[in-house]
Amino acid sequence: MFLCPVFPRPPIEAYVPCLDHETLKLTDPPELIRIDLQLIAMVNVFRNHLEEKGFEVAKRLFFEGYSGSAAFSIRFAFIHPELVEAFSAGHCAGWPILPISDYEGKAVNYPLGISDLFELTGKAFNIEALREVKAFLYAGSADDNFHFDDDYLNLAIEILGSEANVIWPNASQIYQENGLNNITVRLYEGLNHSTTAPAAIPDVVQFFRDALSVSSRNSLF
Amino acid sequence: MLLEIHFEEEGEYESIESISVSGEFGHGDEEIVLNGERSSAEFLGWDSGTRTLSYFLFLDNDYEFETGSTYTLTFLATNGTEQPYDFVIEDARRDYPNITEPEAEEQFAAPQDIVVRWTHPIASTYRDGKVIESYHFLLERETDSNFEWVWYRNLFPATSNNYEVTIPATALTDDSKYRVHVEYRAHYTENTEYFKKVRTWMDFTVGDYQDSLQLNEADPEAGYHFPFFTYFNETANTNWPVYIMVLPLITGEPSEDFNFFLRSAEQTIRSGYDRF
Repeated sequence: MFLCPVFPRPPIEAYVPCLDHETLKLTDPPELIRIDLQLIAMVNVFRNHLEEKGFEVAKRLFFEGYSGSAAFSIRFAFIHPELVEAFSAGHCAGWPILPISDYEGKAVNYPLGISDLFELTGKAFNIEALREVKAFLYAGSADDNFHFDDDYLNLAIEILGSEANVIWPNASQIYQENGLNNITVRLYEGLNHSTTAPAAIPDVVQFFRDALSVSSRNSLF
Repeated sequence: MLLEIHFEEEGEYESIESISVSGEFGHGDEEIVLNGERSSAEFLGWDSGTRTLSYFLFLDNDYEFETGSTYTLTFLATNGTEQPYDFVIEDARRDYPNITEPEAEEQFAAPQDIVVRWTHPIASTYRDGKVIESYHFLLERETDSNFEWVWYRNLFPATSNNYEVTIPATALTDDSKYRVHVEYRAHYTENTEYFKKVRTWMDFTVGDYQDSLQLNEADPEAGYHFPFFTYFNETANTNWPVYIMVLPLITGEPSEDFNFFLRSAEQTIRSGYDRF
């Protein structure tokens, strides 16, 4: 069962489809306020529709995305981990979100970290729930297609690096250091932004097959 | 692009460590690796009976082949020896037939003769006897999990570039969804290893058919200001819980045209459920 929200990408500072910090701050136009909560409302409508058709619908969701849609997926999972069963996210617009709030005395704000997550969303970071989420992150080692945002670019480079072949091993290490052993990171050697997504399809499909096979009926309630 | 490699001798395939394609591409790399960790191609399969290896190359701006150019397949064996093999791309244009009738997603009340028309000017550009061209028209009916073959016709190119096929009512079943494929095929008599196929398709329904792909309108009172697409498999096993998979939308560029996002979202969800 699939759902694709038609959130636009208007030519404004906020990178709406990536669910970035500017998007979470939006108050105008009102239609764009908290699209993460709008998505949850859409899911509820779809869930009701499926249940009316006789389906038993798991409470938690799967997400799959690449590039900007992967950024949305992983950021949504960090904000609402209790709603996510599993997600696959490739590239994640360059630098994946980390489960840290400070780095060498500097605040690591969303979407690089979680320092101001409560201020932006009204929700505290729930790492215990996030540890229950099955996650597959991947990127091509030769992918140089980054979404640059001056608000966190320098700190992202300082913490993770400026090239994919160092960003992802560093990210993986930070996830491990924070007990997020549920997050698998794979780097596809030599692949760029165009070639990584198709090359990863078999692994992504297998990831979700595995996730389905181990997901218990407990996730229903 | 589909790339099929036939190995003449037993054991040749097994002794290959890497395969790559090199040459002049549109904008980017000068080498595409077909197998292994650095692969840029989708491995389709190895048929040990015919000793045929198949890959699918996703062509984009980085890997655009050029008409008339020679490319080299290089096989690196496990013993370190390299064997190059040249091939020529006869026609790199990606020009698809344009189905003009019926309209996409058109609904017919009941089984009836349905005329399908398309245009495709490419065929009329070859009249030197070196290209053998044809069109393959295929009708498929949607089943529980896929599409099944129903009916077909083969046609030769027409100087008018306009084509027409009538699907007989007897080939159609009530309350069904159908997909028609129009595939242009070209064989090159002086380059028999190159074979061009370009295919386009469209769907229509007959009778009271409910599409599993739905566009749900925005409902601010329910908490969302934008529409969303959903797809559900009617025949999924109701004895097990089902999961909802969210496929967030991303487009390469911003736009003020909301229809652009609607089209992109439909493409996103279709490619999503096709994949899984």
